[in-house]
Amino acid sequence: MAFRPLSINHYTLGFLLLIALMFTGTAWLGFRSIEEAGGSLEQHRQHAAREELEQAIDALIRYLDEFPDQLAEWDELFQQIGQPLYYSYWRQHRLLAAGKLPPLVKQAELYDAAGRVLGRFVNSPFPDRIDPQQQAPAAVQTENGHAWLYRYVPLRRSPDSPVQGWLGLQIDLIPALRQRFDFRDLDADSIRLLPHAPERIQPEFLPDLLTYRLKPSPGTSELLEIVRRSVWQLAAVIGLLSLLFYILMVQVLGRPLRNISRYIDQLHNRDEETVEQPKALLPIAELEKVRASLISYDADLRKAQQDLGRKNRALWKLAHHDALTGMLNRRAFDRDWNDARQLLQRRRIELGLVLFDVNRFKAINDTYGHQTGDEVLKAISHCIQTRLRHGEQLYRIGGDEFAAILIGTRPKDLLKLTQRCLDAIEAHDFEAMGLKEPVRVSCGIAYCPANDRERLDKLQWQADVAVYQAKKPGQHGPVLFKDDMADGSQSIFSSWINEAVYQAVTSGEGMVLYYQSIVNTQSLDIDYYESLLRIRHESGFIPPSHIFPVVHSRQLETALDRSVIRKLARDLENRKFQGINGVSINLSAESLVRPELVDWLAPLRSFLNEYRITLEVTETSLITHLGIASRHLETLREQGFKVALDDFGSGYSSLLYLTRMPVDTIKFDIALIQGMEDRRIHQLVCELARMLSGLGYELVAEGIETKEVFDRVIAAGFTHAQGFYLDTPKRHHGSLPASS
Amino acid sequence: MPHRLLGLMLLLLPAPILADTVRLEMPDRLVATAEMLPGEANKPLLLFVHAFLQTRDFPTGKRLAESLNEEGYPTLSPTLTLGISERRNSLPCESLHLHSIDQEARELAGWIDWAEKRGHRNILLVGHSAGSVSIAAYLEQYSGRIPKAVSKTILISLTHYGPGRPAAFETPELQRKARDLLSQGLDEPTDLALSFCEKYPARPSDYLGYLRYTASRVQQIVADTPVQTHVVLGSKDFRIGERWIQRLKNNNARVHIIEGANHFFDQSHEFDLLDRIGEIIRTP
Repeated sequence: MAFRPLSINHYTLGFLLLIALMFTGTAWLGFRSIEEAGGSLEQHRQHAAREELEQAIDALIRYLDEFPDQLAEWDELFQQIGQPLYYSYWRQHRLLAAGKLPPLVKQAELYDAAGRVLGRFVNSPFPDRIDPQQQAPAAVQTENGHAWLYRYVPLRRSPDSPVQGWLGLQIDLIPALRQRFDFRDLDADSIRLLPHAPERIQPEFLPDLLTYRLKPSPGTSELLEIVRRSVWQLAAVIGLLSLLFYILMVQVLGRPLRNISRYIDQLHNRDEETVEQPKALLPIAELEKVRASLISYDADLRKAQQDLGRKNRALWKLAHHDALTGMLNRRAFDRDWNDARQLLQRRRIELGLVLFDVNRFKAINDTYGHQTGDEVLKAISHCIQTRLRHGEQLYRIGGDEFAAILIGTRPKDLLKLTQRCLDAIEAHDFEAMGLKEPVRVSCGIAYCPANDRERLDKLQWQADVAVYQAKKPGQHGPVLFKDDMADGSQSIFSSWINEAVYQAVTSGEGMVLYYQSIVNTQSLDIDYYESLLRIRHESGFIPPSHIFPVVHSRQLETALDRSVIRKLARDLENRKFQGINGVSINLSAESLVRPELVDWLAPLRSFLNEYRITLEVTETSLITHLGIASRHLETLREQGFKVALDDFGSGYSSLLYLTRMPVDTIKFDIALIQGMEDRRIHQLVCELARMLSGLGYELVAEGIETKEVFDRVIAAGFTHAQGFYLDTPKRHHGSLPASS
Repeated sequence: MPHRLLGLMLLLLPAPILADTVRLEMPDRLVATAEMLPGEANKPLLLFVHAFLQTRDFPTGKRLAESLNEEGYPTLSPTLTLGISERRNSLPCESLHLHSIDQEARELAGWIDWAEKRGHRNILLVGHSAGSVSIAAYLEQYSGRIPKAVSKTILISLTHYGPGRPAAFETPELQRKARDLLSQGLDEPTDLALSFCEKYPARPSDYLGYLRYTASRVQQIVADTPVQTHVVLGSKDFRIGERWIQRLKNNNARVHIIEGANHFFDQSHEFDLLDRIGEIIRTP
């Protein structure tokens, strides 16, 4: 994924978040350390609480052992020992109510000196008799969550006086601990006896059977609170500082950067009227320097752009305008013609194409000089342009050819408009230029209705035909193309066809090879293909009937042959003939006599091991230069090429010549094959075929368009056949079919 | 310097009184104790009887005994057992009271007997408040058996039981209740009220024994006893009331009124009391 840069605000926010995270982490670690210290302290306090508890129990027992000294002053005890008659009354009303016993004593019982209880009571937890001689250590009895501590203390009037009786004391130990002791660490209210504690235990083991909590530690809590408060205060300060820092960054750095960034964006999407320069002085020197530099660079850039724009416009004008007449040129016409075609693809609009051709302009040039000729062209173009309607353009598409694309104009109006143009030309004073003869301009119009888009591809040719018609003697005014003009006008080619053919021949642009299969009449398999030339143009394919006249007229035969050889070599290299044995190529007579022919065919030589490559030559071309051509062909045959004599029977060659021609295959002309319906021609073809077969030639019948013809040529002994019945020429992207 | 000051203060302190605690087993096997302060041999023994439920340490009697002892009089200050051997402290009202006024009279007789046997031929009985009633009870119950050594009685703040006392809680209803219980043979401790004790758990028989000594009876005993008897009263003794003072005055008794003194002869009246007692002792 591509990295997308972030704005300064994001980085600032990220930085603040990082600070927040670090602060939070540090605070967390601090809290954790304090809590760990608190935990350690808590452990220490646990030990201390345990010791407190043990000491409290010991102190309680000691207290019970010591406090009987005070009882020596309580006369009523001795009253009851001496006179226990009303002990039950006294026990009930006075023993605990007198306030002489500690409040933690829950029950008490009096015994005489012999250990006999003064009175027996139901539900008394005390025994009826105790052994004064064997007082066991204090014992703890557990019951329903209570830990009862029993203690029997001697009663005597003074330490050296005899024991007069015993006082049994029962203490609920846990409440006693709560009431009597002020624990430092232990929460006295939380002391509880464990469930299922043994019924009788010694006091020293009691702490093991008690649960309790610690008092909240004010020190730790306060420390934590102070730290927590400090952290929050620090967080508030950092937060405030961060906010100020953020505002500062946004205001001092972020906003200026955004302004500069926005300015750069505006520059990027330049609209000179709306680009607003950041005028305010920026608070940071470096940014201010950037701003000033940007403005300066922008000014320079604008100036450069303006210069460039002017130059571009001049260049565009040069590129799209004719330097002589100032009219749009051929390049502009091609562009606008394409635009018009696309417009018609989308909308139902009628379109007219008008061609103007200056009559005998070469003669004017030759007679009055090029300067006058130029003036004539300028005047004509001016006359036409000024008569066209607003928005309609005149193009100079050739030396003396002009064109206009008229959209949404009906044929009648086209004729009117063009007539007006011609009238203007006729009315122009060419004599002022020294011309002593009138200047005539032929005008042809091709019209494409809104609902006939197919006609678009033929519109230029139709306009050419119309101009051709307009040039005919006796013709005055513009001529609108009609379908019947097409017959006999196939050789009328406009300059764009000439141009397209020339481009294809010289540079290979638009050149395409189609292939038509040559079928073996015995196996009905395709033995090889004949390559056929096509030229593709924006207006469509230029048919062979339009190509070769141009080639001949411009003497491009050898150039064409070389282009075809290169094209075929590329097709072979691209493996377009997998499963196919061979391919044939047509060579012109001009190429046959050229000593470089062998070299020209060198690109194909490397494929001879893989393919049978046949060179097709016409008998006319061979006969013309039989000697030289034969030598070249012999050389090529020695290299592995095969030679086929094309269009046999259409020329003037005699059978004698045939025996001297270095050919392997004879291709009968289409006129002979299609003429086999005639009995005599049929017999002639059959005899020739029999005879030539006997001489070892392969025979190819061209023009097989029906099954009857195919059957006849098979019967006549032709080894191969070719024609639309068997196969039509195809472009064949990828490998060609192995059989038709 | 501090050591010199401490030495001076020690020199200024009165000489410590050498007291003996006497234990005496009474006929009912209770052990009673008394404080014996020896005095001059030719001077009468002053036997102090403390007030109701108190001990010999009660301030009025104790101060008086010590002051008179300083004047050379031997003093004997018993603590009535009130049913408790070697009783040391005053008995709270709420305690179980297993004592009677007859028992007090017996103990008094016991101590007089003990004094006689110790050679004291002139014994003055000094009572305070209810202690004076106990002496009156002794005078009544031992009438005709009182040793000749008992030459004089001084009854300070003499009071009585039963109706007529301004600050007493005993009521005719409680007296009736006690009688009813006793008549039913139920002589068990029960909640009663006596003197300043609003709650006084005691046996009805013991209780009624105290209530026998009403104002009239005490007045009669004082009037009839052959022993020279002096009654010392404070003019502001609201515990006994003006009416009782007046009745005693009208009884031809030797009544000594100390003006402004209350029941306990506090503060400066302590000296008035001491002076008056001294006068009475010295009076033949």
